[in-house]
Amino acid sequence: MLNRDSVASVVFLFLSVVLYVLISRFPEEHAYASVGAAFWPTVLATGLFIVSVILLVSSIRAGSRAHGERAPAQAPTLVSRVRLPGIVGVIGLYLLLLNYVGFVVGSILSILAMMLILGERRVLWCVVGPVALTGALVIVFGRLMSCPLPAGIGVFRAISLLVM
Amino acid sequence: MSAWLSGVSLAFSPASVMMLIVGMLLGVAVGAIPGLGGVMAISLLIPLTFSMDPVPAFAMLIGVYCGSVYGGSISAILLKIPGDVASVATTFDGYEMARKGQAGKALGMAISASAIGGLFSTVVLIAVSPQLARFALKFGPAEYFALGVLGMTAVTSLGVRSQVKSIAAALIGLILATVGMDAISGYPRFTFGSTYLLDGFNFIPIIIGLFGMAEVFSMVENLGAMGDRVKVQRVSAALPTLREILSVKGIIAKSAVIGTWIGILPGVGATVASLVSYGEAVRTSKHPEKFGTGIPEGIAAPETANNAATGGAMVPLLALGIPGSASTAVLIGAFLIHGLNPGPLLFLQRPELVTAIFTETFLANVAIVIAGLVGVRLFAKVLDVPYRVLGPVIVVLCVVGSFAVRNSLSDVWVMVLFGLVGWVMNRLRFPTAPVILGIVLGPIIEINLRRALLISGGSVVSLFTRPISGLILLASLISLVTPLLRQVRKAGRTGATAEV
Repeated sequence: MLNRDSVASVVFLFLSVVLYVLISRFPEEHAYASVGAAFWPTVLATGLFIVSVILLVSSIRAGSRAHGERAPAQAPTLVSRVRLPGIVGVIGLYLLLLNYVGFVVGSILSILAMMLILGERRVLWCVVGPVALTGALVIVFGRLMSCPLPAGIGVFRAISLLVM
Repeated sequence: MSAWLSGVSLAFSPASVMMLIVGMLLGVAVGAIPGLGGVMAISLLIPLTFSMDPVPAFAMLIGVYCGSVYGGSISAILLKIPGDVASVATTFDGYEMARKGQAGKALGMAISASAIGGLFSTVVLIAVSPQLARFALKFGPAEYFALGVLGMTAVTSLGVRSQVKSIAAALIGLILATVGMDAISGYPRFTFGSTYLLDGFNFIPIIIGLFGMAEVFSMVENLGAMGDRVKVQRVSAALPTLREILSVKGIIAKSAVIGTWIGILPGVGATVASLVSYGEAVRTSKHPEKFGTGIPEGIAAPETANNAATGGAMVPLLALGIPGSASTAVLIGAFLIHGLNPGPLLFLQRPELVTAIFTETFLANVAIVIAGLVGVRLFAKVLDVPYRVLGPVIVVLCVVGSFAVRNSLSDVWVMVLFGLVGWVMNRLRFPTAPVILGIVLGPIIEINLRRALLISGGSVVSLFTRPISGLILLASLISLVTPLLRQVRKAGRTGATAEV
């Protein structure tokens, strides 16, 4: 059975082949002799190919030696299984909605959602935490550093402009 | 003599000292917040200094400059998010020390090392700036290529578990650095028609993703196993004792020299200085396997070097009007709005101002200790916050930090993507630091190698026959091969199934 290193090395091998294919489409540049745009990526793709082969061989050898010696991995709990995808999902949603709901509303809601997913249940922390942090970020990045944070559209824009 | 005295007295005037302290505190705060580097802070403050006298104006800007480089280490140690790119090497051991409950000790070492590195480079700046700047001008593409290669040899010391995995990760970083318009031919490489990719990946979102966001994902994953709580310990910042500093004196001395020298070289900067110093500290250590596990030596090396590079970068700026780093390039703007031209004429026309700048740089590095202790007390409180609150805070900080670089949401998506990549790499036990090394040093290595080959008509031999580049490449080869041989010999002796 393939171990994790074998899988990684196969992925790297595949990546190096894809790189070769992409590099082969680069135009020939006579002005730059042999050191055109393709020169350095070719060197790197070759290096990655060689390293992947070494990694694959050593992982297969190590895998066969260690066969049957491994302790069974600790099974993740249901809660921990849900938490990570939940956090990634909230971050994805936050970024997707940022241009529509703006930085202020988006940040308050996403911080609150992440705190709840991570198990925070104290009402005061859940209310004050997201608002205070978002306020601090707006002051530092928006006001002091003049960073144009997304304001959103419609009513969200009105809220953002009120704060920022 | 009177110009010197006049310059020193100007630097010690109440207005200058006050501006220096304000700038220093601001610099530490800005440096500690990911996405807000010294370059951004200096460029925003330059218009504010327009109405000031030049001496207090430069006091504030130099305070921000020196403070921001140190400030980056605070979040690097406490959160594993380098506040400034130059602090990326500090995360390797700093964060591990914080995890072991030694955050105060780590921060104290960072303060001391930063101050010593900065003071050393200031002495060099004062003593030999014109001569050193002239020597640095002899560096051509071959020498810069060799310097980049020397920086990359740190890869073998960053992969304690597996050198091959470390090299693979470095290659991924180097490949990522090739994305975008080729700097020599102008051909768009691996852009797939995307205008965003034409400029290449900005390495700040990638660093924030691979370090900050990936750590959040790992912590979230482990929260369940840890009973939903992360054990935090109260942090009290304390400067290391004289004995502790003396125990790393060799590393500090070497890193101060490396940092100052790399800082002097135009366009290389504090990030390369800290990475090269870290690699050199590992290479010459009696216990290289302990690096990356949380030891003070791993903080002393990069922090001494990155602050030493600040003084080093001032050398070509003042002596020749050539910036040694991005921050000093912005500082040129400050000279211009005050009607001054940095360069040899400045020494003749405004010697008192040059002396005042020297003195202010020296004072700024002394003030790092004060500002550092104040900053640490404030920032160390973050470790008292439970992770279920701190986690979301770090996520939003990562998002804003990535967005602030170019005001681009695409950068934020890149940051999240590399956060996931970093998390997968952590699970597969691939070190993430070599990826950063590859991204930062990749353009320096590629462009200078190709330039050198174009100049020499494609002859690789010329890289080795030029004395400076030849020596640096030889040192690189020794750095690269020695740890590999040591590991192979060790594996041969024990017959262990250790990863190669």
